[in-house]
Amino acid sequence: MQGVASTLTSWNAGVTRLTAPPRATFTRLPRGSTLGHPHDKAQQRRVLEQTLELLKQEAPLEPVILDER
Amino acid sequence: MMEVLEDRERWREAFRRGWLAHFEATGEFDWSLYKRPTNTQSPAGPAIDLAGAQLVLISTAGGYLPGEQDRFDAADPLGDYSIRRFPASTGLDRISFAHGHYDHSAVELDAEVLLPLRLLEEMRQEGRIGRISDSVISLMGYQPDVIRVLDEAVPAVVSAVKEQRADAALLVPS
Repeated sequence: MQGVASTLTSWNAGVTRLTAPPRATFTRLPRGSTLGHPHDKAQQRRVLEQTLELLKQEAPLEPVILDER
Repeated sequence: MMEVLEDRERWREAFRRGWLAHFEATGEFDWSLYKRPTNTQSPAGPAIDLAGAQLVLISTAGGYLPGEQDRFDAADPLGDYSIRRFPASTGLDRISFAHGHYDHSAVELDAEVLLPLRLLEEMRQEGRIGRISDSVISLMGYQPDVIRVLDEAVPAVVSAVKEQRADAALLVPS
């Protein structure tokens, strides 16, 4: 997607890192709860904000590890 | 231009001779034979100010609108590479998820865990995101054939992103 800045968040750092994404955050959340646990809006918002924050920087970036589980 | 997947032909051969050949011979999955798609270089790109930009959400959770759209073929052992689009303003209770490769208990309790439509709208109202693209781009992320991802899913996603003139994309895998 040339010309479109992209970012992602993943619970699966091992597999995602292999694809060399331009911007990424990695968590230890369970599969199926990528942004956070159900109804934990504060956690979901933290993961979302930190993932979007990466767009402020030129890519590629080293993936950012978030202490979310 | 940078390829989405480096060394596409090597991946194709490894897939055909390994995982796919085993599946076709036995009807069973052996993920030890699956070659993960691998790149050595990340694409470069400029920084953007999200407060003045349009963001599109791309989800691989298998979300679709029942009654209006065909569900993804979650039962196909070789995957489903099509996309669905639905308005970002869609009520979460109108969205169903067809994907056989993750536990749906969390998303059924709270769809925001995979599809953060309300949180993104909240950030837009706060002025932290300029605009949310009208359509969410939805895929069913069980797509073992990366060549079909490159030839079918990626062009459909790129076309949908460009049509909406998005400046930035957020990918939320399941």
